[in-house]
Amino acid sequence: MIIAFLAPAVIAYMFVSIYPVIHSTILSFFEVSAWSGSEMKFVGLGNFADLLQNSVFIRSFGKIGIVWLLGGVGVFGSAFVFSALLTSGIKGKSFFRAVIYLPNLIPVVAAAAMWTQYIFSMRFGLFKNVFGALGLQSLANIEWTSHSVIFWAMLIAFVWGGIGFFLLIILAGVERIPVELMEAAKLDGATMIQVFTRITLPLLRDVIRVAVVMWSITVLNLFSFPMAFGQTYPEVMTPAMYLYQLAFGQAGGGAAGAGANGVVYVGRAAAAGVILTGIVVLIYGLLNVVFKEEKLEY
Amino acid sequence: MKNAKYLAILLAGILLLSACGPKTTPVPVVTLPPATIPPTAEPTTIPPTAEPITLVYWSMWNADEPMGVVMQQAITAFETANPNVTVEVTWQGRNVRKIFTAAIDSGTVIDLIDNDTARIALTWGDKYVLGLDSYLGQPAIGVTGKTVSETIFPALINQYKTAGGNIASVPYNPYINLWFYNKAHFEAAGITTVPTTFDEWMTANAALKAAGHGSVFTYDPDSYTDVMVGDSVQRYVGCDAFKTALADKTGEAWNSAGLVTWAEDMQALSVYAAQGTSANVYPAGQQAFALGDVTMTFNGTWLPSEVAETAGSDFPWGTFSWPAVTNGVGTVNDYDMGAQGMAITQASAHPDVAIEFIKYVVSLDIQTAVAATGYASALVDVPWIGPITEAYTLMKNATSAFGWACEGWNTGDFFGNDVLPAFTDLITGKITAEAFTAQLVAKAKTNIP
Repeated sequence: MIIAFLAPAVIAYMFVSIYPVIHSTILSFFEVSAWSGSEMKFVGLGNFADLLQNSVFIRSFGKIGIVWLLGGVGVFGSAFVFSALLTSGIKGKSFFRAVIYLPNLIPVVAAAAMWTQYIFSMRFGLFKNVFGALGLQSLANIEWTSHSVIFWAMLIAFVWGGIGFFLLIILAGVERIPVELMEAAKLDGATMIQVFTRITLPLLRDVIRVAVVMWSITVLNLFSFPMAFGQTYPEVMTPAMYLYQLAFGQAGGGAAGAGANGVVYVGRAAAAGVILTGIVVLIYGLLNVVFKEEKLEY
Repeated sequence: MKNAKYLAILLAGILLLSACGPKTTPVPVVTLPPATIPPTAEPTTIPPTAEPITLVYWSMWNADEPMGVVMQQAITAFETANPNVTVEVTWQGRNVRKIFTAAIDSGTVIDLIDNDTARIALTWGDKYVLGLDSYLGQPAIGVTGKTVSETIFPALINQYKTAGGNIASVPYNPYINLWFYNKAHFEAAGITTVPTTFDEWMTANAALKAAGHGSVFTYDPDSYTDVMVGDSVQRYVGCDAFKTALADKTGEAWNSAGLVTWAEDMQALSVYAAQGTSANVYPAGQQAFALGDVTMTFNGTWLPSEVAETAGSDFPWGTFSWPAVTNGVGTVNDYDMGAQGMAITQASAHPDVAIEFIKYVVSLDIQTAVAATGYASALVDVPWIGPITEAYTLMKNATSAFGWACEGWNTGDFFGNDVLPAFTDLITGKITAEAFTAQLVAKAKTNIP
C-alpha cells in the first residue's frame, strides 16, 4: 500500500532527476557535437582528460574557490552582524529584515545592470562619487568593470545579493536559542564576543552546516551573476559558465553574438557536469565529517 | 549520507537544467515608426493547389522589434497575395540559434529559418539547410529585369558557402562594422575629409585633441573588442595571417613585423582613448558617443537604431572605414560585414513555396520597409537612410568582405581568453606594444593546446 502511495512521486522524481544524471554521465564518455541526432563516438575518459588539461576550466575552479572563501566571509560575516543587530531589540526589525532581503527579489540581470551601469560607472557611478567626495581618489579611480577588476566587482555584487538569504537562515537559528542562556552568561560576566563564540555559535552548529552546504552549492553553480557581468571576459569564467559555453556555444561576437562560432561539445559539457556533481557530493561529505550531526536540545 | 546523495543528484539535475537558461542578449531599441509597405508590384508564382499549404517559420526576431514588425508585414503581404499559403511564424528571438538544430534533429517541422549568414552556411550547413543556388537565378520581385542574386550586394551573396559549396541563405539585413564619428567635432577641429590612412587618422586625432575633443574614441570592450582586433589587424597582415598567429603554439608569430607594427600603432592610438574606456560595459561606450562626449566609436550599422533615443534626430552622424596602413595587406574597401539571411531547411516539404516567401522578403517593397526602419537593406538599389546614408556608399564600394573579427572565434579559446583582454589593455594605454607582444608570445606557449 505504501509502495503504491509513493510510486507516482518516486517515478516522477526518477524521471526528472535521476534520468538526466544517468544520461549526462553516459554522454560524458562520448564525443557528441549536437544535442540530438548527432553521431556518438565513444572516447572513454577523453572528455574528462581534456577538461582537466584545459587551463580555462581549471582556472574557473580557482575563481569559485575565491568566491567561496572571500565571498563566504563577506556573506556570513555580514549575516552574523545583521542577525546580532536584529535580535538586539532594535525597533523596526521587520522593516530592516525586509530591506536586507530585498536584493534577493531583484532579478539578477537587473541587479547586474544596476551595479555595472550605475554603481560602478566611471562617469557618474556611486563609488566614484562617494570615494571622490571623501578625497579617496585612488579608490574613486578604480575601473571596476574593466576586465582586470571585474571579478572583484562581480564578487562585491554577488555578496550583496547573497546576504539577505543567509541572514534569514541564521536569524531563524539565533531566534530559537533561549534568551535565558544569553542572559545567564551576561550575568556571569561574559562579554558579547564570549556569548557569541561560546553560546551562539555552538548552538547554531546545525544551522551553519546547512548554510555552508547551501553556500557551497550556490557558489559551485555560480552562473547568472558572472554571465550578466561580463560573459565574454575570461576573468569571470566559472565552471558552470564554461559548461554552458561547451553545451550551447561560445559567447562573443558583439551584442547579438554574430561572431560566436556556434560549435557545441555536448559530451564534454556532460563531463563538466559530472565533475561538478562529484565535487558537490564530496563537499557535502566533508561537511558532514566536519560538522557532525548532533541532537541539540535546549 | 543517503540524504546527501539524493540531494547531490537533485542538485546536479538542477544544475543541468539551469544551464539551459536563456542567454541575455540586448535587443535593439528603435523609436522609428513601423514602415508601411505598399502593395507588391508583381504577384508571386505559386500555382493554386487543392490543399492549403502551411510554412513554418522560426524567426530570430521578436514580434515587437522593428525587424519583427517588418517581417510580420512581409508575411501579411505574402499571405494576401497567396491565399492558399499560411506562414506560421514563431518569434523565437536570438536564442533560436541555440535550439534550431536540436529541434530539427528531434523531428520538429520547420520550413524557414533566419540567422547570421555565417552560422547558417558554416555551422548548420548542408545537413540542415537547402542549397539555394538554383533558386537565385529566378526573377526578383519588384526589380524589373534582375534575378534575385543580381539585386543583392555581391559581397554578401557569395560571402559564405557550405562545405558542399552551396549558398545556404539569402541575405536580407546586412551590417558593416565601421567607425562612427561626430561630424560637428570634425568640423570644429577643421577636419574636412575622413581619414583613409593611419597617418591621416593620427593627424585628425591630434587636431581633435587640440580642438578640445580629447576623448577621441571609445567602445564597449565586453561586446566589440573582437571586431576592434579583427578589423585593425586585417589592415596590417590580413585575416589568414592573423588566424595563423592565433594557432601558433610557439607564439613566435606575434613577433612578426606586421603584427609588431600593428601593436605599435595601436599603442600610438591608445593616447586618444577616452578615459574609462576599458571599464565600459555595453552599452556605456556607445551611449557616451551618442551623448556627444566622445568623437568616435567602432560599431556595426545597427548602432544608430540602438542609440536613437539618446542621440536624437539631429545627431551629426558620419562613418568611415578602418584606415589602411602603408605596406599593409588590407584596404579601406575590405569590410568586416555580414547579414541576417533566410534559409530553407532540408526537411521542408515545400521548398518551392518557401523560396517564394524568401523572394518576398528580399523584394523591393519589403527591403524598402527594412531601410525605413533605419536598418540596412540587402538590395543594391535600396539606399540606406538617415545615419547610415554614408555607410551605404561604403558598402557599394566594398571590394571584399571578411567575417566577424577575422573569424577569430573559430580558432579556439586563445582569441577570447588571451588576445582580447591584452588588446583592451593595449588600446586603452595600460600596457605597451612590447608588453602586449611578450604577453601573447608567453601565453601562446601555454594556452594553445
